[in-house]
Amino acid sequence: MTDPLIGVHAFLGEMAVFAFFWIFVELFNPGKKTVSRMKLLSGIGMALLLLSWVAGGYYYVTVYGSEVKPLIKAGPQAWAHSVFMETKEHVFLFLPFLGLMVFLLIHSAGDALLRDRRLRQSIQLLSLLIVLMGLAMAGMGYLISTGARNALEAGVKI
Amino acid sequence: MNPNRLRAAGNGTIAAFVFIVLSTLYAELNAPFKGLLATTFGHHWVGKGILSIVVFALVYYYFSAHSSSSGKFDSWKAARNVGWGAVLGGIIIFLFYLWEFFK
Repeated sequence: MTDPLIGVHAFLGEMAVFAFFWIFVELFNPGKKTVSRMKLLSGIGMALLLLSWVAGGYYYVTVYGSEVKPLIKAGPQAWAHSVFMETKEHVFLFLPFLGLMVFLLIHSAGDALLRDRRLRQSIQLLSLLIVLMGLAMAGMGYLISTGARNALEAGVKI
Repeated sequence: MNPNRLRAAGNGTIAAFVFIVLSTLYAELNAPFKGLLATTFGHHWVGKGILSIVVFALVYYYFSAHSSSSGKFDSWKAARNVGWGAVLGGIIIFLFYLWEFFK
């Protein structure tokens, strides 16, 4: 049975992507309530990234390494672990730091967020990067799951 | 937050990225280092995560405490540098594991 922690990790990560995508879109046309909304969303997004890190990390350390990794490596798509899981687990570590930068920029800006277009574009750049990297994480997660499923279909036993 | 602290956060973020990339590559090329991370932190990946936070905190503290510049903070320059750090770091890690797989 698939470990529910994978679902929790993916759900939290995708919700974080939605939060930063909201920030990216709203900063094109900020209104009166934008500052308070951005502060809330950057806090929620940051918290979701950290929770996704904890959930995914706990699964990776306690289950993946002993049960899924050997299965994928013995299967027909060993690259799913050797290239994509290795890349995913390390590049993921960038995301909380990017989230923290967005959080700090928004919380230090205050009402300048409404006046300073260059500041808004800076936050948008980092938010878009979080969105794209988050989507890349989801894509790599799909490839890793496919690697495990194909190993099972090929009759690999560990 | 004053400009020095924002600059320090940007520098700390880039330093954390550099540490993650270098420790990832070095751990794959040097088994004792990977083993040291694993025995110290329970898992090499946990070690890289914790140490990257330590690197961020140290660099943040250093630049907040020692920077004398109090001029205007250039948010675009900071975001651009951090963004390039993340993109290049990600590409280096991906290409390294691709090379490791096919070598």
